[in-house]
Amino acid sequence: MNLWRLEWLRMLRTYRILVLPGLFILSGLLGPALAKILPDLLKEVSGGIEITVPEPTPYEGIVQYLGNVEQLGLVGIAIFAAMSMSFDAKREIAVFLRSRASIPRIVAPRFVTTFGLAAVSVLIGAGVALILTDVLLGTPPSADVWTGALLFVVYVGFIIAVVTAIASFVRSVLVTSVIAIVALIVSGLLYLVPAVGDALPGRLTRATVELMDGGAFEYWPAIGVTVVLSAGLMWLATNRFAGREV
Amino acid sequence: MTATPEQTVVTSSIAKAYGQTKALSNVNISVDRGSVYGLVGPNGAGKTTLLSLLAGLRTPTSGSIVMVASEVGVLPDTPLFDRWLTGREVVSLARSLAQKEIAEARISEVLETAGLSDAADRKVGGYSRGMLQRLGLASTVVADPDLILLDEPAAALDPKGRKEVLDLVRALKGRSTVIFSSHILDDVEQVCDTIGILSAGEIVYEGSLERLLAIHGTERTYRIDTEDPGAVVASLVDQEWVETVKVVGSSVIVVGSSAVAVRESIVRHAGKLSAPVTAVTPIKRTLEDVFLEVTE
Repeated sequence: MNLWRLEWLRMLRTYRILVLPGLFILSGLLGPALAKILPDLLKEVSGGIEITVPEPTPYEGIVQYLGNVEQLGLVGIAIFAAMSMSFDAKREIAVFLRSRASIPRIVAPRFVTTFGLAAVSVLIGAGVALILTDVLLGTPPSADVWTGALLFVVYVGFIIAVVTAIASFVRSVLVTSVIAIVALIVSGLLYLVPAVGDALPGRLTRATVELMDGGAFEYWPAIGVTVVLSAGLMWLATNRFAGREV
Repeated sequence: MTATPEQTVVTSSIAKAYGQTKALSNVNISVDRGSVYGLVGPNGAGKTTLLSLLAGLRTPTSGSIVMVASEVGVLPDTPLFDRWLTGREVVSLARSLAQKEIAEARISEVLETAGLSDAADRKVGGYSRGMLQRLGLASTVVADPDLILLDEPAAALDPKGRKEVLDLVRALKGRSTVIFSSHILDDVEQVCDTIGILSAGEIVYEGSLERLLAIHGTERTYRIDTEDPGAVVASLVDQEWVETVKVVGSSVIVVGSSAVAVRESIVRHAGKLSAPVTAVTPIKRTLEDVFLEVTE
């Protein structure tokens, strides 16, 4: 047993290994399915008024999926990250860990396992969305979706770093989750800021749609800023944890 | 400031404040190697704060700590572990986090010593409070630390659980240095060589229990058995060698200002009383009486 195995067991025995991928699989199923049945649904609720709805396209299936991921996925990852990174929430557990191991030794396995699980979940969700879109709506632009999913994985690292930084300021899992979700939503809106918006982490969440719209791959600045910001937040968190009394 | 080869912990004028609130001030303690040191004090006296400072989990506002220990084990008052781990996994994790190599067989050994062999492979979420306390102790001692800090290890346990935990602590004597905080004086009396009494953040006594009882515990308190306690009390209240006097049933309890003064005066005074006195007996005070006196 060591701190890496502890995190592996945490994923297995608290069913995180099923729940988080489950959220993304659900998003991957619901997105294309909703896009497929939306015209029929609209006809059902039209109350006799004839509505002409164009046939759903693979593009719409993926967009529906992304809408789910940006909401449900982000909240899910933030909550699971808060559950892992708020190791000072219970003093007795904090005493057990902190009297035996340094902060980097405690933080590293928690960050890596949470990131790994979230990244795999994102990729599984994208795969499911692609398959179901293909089955229900037609061939989707797979290369764009995979590229967008990989860019979202970079953003997942940023989500976990934000949560970790907040956990180093507050102890409660719930408060950490709520603050992190609000902070991520606000930071996601910063793409509206002229000139700098395109280089901020929130840009990565829109990459799939932009690529499917025919946009060029212009994400290196956003990737660089996201990685640097994530590393900076982890450095801040590590120092904050080390200085925090238990 | 340095520690002698016989000492494991020496503190010099430690103070700790939380904002405007002083939790500890001018704390000087010295803990001998291999001893069990009882840190005694009422709730809120600063015991947990002092142990946290010694564990390095908090930083003193001023003062310094010298610790000669390569491995320090810390047990909080209510040990808690991830519910989904088994007892064996908790101890195994503690072993893996030790500074030195520990044989795997040590895990089963400490679990057996803690009386948890049968429950070792059960999830700790189903453990009782006493079992968690013993598991905490097992995971604390698995690395054979030089210094073990135990915060109220027997508090809130039933008598059987308390005895088991105290037996475990007693077994550590000589092998490790143990600092053991408690407000249960009976526990301290059973296992500690030296005690430090904390009151309102200050050490008001440090030394052996015997010395404490010798200073505060005997010779100053006497019981006078009489048929007229009221008259005896009236005759005593103005005596300069009397500190306090009170009636308990048909007896009068007298606490003198000093052991010598009361010993020299009380029998002579009793002989002069008009009220019939049947006995004058020195009372050996309990540790609890002494503790209350010292911490007031």
